[in-house]
Amino acid sequence: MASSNTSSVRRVGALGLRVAFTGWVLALGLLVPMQAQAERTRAAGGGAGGSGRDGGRSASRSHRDNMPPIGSLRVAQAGTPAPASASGDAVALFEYRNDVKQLADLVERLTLALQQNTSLSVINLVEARRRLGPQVDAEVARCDGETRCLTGVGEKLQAKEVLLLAVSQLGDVVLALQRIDVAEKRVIARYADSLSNGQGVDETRLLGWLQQLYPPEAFKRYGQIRISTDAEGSGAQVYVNAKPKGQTPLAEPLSVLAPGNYRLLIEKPRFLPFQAAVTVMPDTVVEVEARLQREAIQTPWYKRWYVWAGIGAGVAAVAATGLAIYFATDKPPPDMTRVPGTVVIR
Amino acid sequence: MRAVKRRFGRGVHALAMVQRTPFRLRQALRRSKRLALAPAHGFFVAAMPRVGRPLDRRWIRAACCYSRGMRQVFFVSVMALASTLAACSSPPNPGQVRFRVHATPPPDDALLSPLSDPRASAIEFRDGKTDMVLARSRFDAVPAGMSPNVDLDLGAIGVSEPRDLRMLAVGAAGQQVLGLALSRSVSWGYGNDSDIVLELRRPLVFFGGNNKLLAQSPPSDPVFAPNQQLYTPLKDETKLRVIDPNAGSPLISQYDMQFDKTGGTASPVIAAAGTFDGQSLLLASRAGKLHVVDTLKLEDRGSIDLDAALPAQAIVIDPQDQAAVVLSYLKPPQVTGRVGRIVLLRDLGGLRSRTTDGSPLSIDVQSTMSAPVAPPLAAAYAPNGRIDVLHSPPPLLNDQPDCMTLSGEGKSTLRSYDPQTGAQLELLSLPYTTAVAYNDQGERVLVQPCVLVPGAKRPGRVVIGADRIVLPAPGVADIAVVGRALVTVGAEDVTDDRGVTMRAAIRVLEPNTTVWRTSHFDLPTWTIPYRVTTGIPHAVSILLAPTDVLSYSIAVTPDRARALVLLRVQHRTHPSGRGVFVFRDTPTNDVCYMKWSGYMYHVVSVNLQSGSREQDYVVGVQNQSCRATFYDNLGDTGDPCFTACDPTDSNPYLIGYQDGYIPSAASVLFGRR
Repeated sequence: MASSNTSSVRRVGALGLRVAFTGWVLALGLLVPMQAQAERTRAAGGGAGGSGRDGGRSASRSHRDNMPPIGSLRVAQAGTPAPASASGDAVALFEYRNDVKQLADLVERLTLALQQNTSLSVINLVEARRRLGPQVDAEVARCDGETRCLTGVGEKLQAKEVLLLAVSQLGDVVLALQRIDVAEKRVIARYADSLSNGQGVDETRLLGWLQQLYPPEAFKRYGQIRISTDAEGSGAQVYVNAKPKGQTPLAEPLSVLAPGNYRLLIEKPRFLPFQAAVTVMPDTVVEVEARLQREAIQTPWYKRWYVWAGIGAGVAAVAATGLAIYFATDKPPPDMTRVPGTVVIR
Repeated sequence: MRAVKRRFGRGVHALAMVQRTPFRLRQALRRSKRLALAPAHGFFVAAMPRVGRPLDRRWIRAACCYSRGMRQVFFVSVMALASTLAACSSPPNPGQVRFRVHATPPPDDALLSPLSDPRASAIEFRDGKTDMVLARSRFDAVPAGMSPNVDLDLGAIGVSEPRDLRMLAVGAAGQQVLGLALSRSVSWGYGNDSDIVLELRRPLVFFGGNNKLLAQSPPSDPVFAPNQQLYTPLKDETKLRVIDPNAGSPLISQYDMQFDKTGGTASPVIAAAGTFDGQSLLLASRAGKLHVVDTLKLEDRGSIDLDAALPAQAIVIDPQDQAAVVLSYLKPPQVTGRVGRIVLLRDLGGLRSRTTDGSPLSIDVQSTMSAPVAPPLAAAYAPNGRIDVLHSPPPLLNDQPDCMTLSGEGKSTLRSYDPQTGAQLELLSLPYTTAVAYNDQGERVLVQPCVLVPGAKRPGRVVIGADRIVLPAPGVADIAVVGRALVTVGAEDVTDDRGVTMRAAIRVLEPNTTVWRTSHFDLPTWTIPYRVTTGIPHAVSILLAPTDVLSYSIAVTPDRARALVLLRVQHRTHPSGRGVFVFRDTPTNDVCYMKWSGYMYHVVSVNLQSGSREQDYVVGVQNQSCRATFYDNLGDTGDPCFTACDPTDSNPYLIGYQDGYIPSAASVLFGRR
């Protein structure tokens, strides 16, 4: 029985990997067109439209070949960011450009770099316009890079920080990045760099800027694991990588570092434990439907009713056999004092 | 490999060895087959293709599981089979005992076979000695004329050491024995198939005749012969009569037999005895031959010669049917010289089967004046193996037994003989004794007609044992012992007085009693017709009442239901009186009186259970004396007044008148002691 359970877990794990990989591929496949769509939408002046964030999540069912029905696993489409769990995680990214035409896409590239390499939720101007309206541009421009003013805009956007990219040119292009804490209304980090005229910025360098600004923790990416159960599964203990994470139903999805492989164990007394191995990509939600089944396999043998029933039946059979042999062999000896008699009259 | 062997068993160990060489595989095959390790053996066979290839653990585990599983299956199967076989094991064969009943086949079965008696309702098997019932079965009579083909299940009956087995066919709620069979020394045991043949017969009784009684002077007119009471169907004195005492018409005249015909005239049967197994009847004719009659169809199987000069008077058979004795003497017997003969038949079985002549041994009884010896009157086989022969004057003679002369001691002797050698072993002097027998307790029973028992009015007694029981028995000359019961028929114990009419008395001594169970029945008068020629001629009849009875032969059926008795009834005028008034002579006013004495011989069938007489056949009359004289006022003038009784008359036909015969040879199948 243990071997079969082990093989089942292996199958689940393997399936999970396949599913995760498939989901990641699908997510990538969808992310690019969605990004493109976002670009087009922004280029077209914004507009409502779904971004990848609100794009429909497509779930891919896990394959259940040769697997017992232990639940379902859904991986949120890669690229579909997790909704902002708190306002502090959001960073509003503004640009202050002093008539510099060079590196015009620098803010978009910063946005992308932040999204891909950090766990921060980035609010760029497109998102800000969507939230506050077209006048946000004027407000940002009126701030003229002034810290207090920008924190005000940040408060309206419910951002924790404002990342200000100031681009000026004095022969070389001077880039200044400031991290402004909205609550404290002060700059908490600065970084400046200069670029020769015509010199580009690759992604590595851009990432290096961000690494100078943000602590290493900011570059930890997270994904989420949302565990859902049916009524029978409520009250089950959830373990992720052998660490207890609470009992179902969980109030919030589990936030885990991503990308990463995680072993889920959901167990409940008198139920078969639910195990799953999932791969969580950054900013994705892996939905796990754990339908617990009543215990039938892993109950200790001495707690299984049929074991005792079988033992009892075996004992009864042995006893019955013994009794049969006893009675068969313990038959009273034949009455040798009498013989059948017949009268034959012919 | 040892670990593999220890863990996975011998089969798998052998299996693991196969990877080494094919030789080892063959070795393992042979070993598994020899050890009946069928599962492992089968697995080795399957392993053949893998010879030379290393085994992997999966296969070893599979073999292990298979082997273990098959061992378990094999073990459980063996257990189940063993328990089933044990439960279903059949008990040893108990064997059986079959009682093959042989009875008279058709067409004689209607009158001779008990199986055809419509009253038959059951059959019983009893111990021949203790009479204990061993088995019983209901039985429906087979219609006469049909060959029986009946199987009756008796159920389980107890095994038996050698014993005498008696079979009874009973009717009327088991009270009436309609048929019997006796097989000796039969046994049956557990596990054996035994067949026991039982010859079933009706308990027939027989009687024979004697020489015809002829009148000295027959009456000129037969109408005046005093023989009207003779039973016509029984007038032929030469026939052996067959009686079924249980039948409504007891005389089975169809089976009356005659023997030893010479010149067209058969010789009367004067002695007879039935074997105790009922299969044979020994009878002696007056011609001096001893016949053996097979009772299956009442057929004569042959005879041997006896001494014709000394006719056989009695035949006694050994209760084991192994021997017999024939007593011969003349009537009236001689006083001196050879007064009689005792013939010991030492091989009765050979005589019956006609393989031998019975190995007879004759003993002549010699008498002298100085050492008078009476003829051999009766005999009995004693429990000690000897034969007791009673030497006594025969009672059935005119005016006998005369107890005036026969009273006192020493009138009879009882001699014990060795039945094989004939040696006389013992001599016992007795009062006048006419019968000897032994009951089943080994006590000797003697009948002494002339000994008066204190308190009795008439002489006669029966003595059991050494005077352990003495019972009055007047008029008894013979006795029947059936088991522990005694049966006699005799005279009523009344004073011998004028005006007393005698009745016959049936006396039965039941087991464990000391007094008779007595019942009586009337006897007919003797009618003597005569013609009166003086005065106005007319005819009258003189009726003479019975005055005495003597039973001289008795045969009782084995169930003690009925008895055939031969009686001699005396009719006489009292000696103290003038006799019977005949007529008065008017001129002289003298009265004619007649004194008379005579016998009538009866064959009587009595029901011992009811104490009643069922059949009474008068077969003989024998006038002893007749004298008729006138009496005047002074007394007997001496002048004869009745010509029939006047010896000077030309035709005194009443003097010495006799007719018919004296019956004899009363006997019954299944013997009597």
